[in-house]
Amino acid sequence: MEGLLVKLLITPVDFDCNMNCGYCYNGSARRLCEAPNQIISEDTIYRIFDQIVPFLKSNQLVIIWHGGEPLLAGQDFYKEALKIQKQAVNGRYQITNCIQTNGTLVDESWADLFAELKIGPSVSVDGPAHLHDSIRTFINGGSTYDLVMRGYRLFQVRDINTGMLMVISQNNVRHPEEIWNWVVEQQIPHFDFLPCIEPKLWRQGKQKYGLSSEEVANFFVRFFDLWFDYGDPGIKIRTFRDAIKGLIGGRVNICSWKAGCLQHISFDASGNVFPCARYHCYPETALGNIQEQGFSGILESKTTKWVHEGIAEGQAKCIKCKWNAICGSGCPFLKYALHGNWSEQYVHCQPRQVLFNHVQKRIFKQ
Amino acid sequence: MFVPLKKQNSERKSRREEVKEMENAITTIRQDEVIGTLIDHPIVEFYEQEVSQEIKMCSCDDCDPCDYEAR
Repeated sequence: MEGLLVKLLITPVDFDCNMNCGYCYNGSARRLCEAPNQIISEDTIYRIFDQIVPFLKSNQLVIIWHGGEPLLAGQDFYKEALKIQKQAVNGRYQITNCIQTNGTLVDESWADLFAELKIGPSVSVDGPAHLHDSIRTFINGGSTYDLVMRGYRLFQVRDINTGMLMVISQNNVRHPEEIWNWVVEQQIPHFDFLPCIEPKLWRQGKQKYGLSSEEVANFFVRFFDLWFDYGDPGIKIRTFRDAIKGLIGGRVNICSWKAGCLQHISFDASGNVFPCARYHCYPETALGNIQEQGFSGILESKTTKWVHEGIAEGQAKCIKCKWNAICGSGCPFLKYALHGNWSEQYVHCQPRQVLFNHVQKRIFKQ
Repeated sequence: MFVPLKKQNSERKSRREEVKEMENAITTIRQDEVIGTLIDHPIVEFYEQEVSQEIKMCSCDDCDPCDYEAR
């Protein structure tokens, strides 16, 4: 991995969250792993940035602060963390910080801090109020929509480039028209979808909120048509953007579409290192601990070799697929979470093929 | 036939023009590999332009400039 890293994911409070969403894999993970809730130490932050510098691919680096709910770490944490980050890289690197937040804690002072520190937020919203509130609730069951959208607006009025992620689950998959109308009404310029998968329940054939391949495909195709027929390039949907750009010979950006796993690394609050934040509840995939080892030793560990070779071999299985250059073989984490290895077919292979075929038909003259 | 140097230079394309032609050729080749002709549509035109600018400005994928537009 030497000289390959482009993105770090850090979960400063691990799985700690003020919400209890119906499908949350973090909630399942918390129960599964009994991970302690803690805030990452300043020393760990320093070690991360101090150690990874020689392994960066270029002088640019993206940091994603993820969770749980990363704002639970508090404003002082981010002020200090970004100061440490700056000291460690000593002005030699251009760092972009982003936070994936549920938005409920964002008030005027948080929004000011995002603007001051130039942190790019992305807010999790599952569509209009009645769809969102029926699954994304506080721990006590209370609704969150109004607070989330207040936070989103506080970013917008400060001209902060704000993304939005919608989990598509059994809760909203049959409402593409309603979600699209809401996007237009709310003037949401950038967003994307995450199709819901519940790994543990999937393995038992008992998903509650997770989707079948057919449901994912139908939603994508219907939503693509709604967006494409509306015809406003100012509304950017990451999945569709990458599908179009990939089909016309451009560069895709979604990590799994460009087989980008080996360029990312993730740290939990204890300093454990994982291939991606999604593996944090799979302790056997921990590559090492930044407090106990140097980063070069972590990258040379047996686990790192096992994970990287497994991912690469899984990706090589798709080499003859006509969509491989765009698709990147699917998300390796989901292969591992569902099958315990990286060799099986990506669970959303079929929906992706349906989408690529559909987009190709729509954008080229027949 | 002998062509005076001055004329050769005036007929020669500038480096910028050559690069532009090469970029167009790359785009066409990439499109032809997969496809045919793109339809006239504001979204398609927008991403066509974005792709041609990527080829022009940044051939590597180091920086992920668009990655936090939506996440």
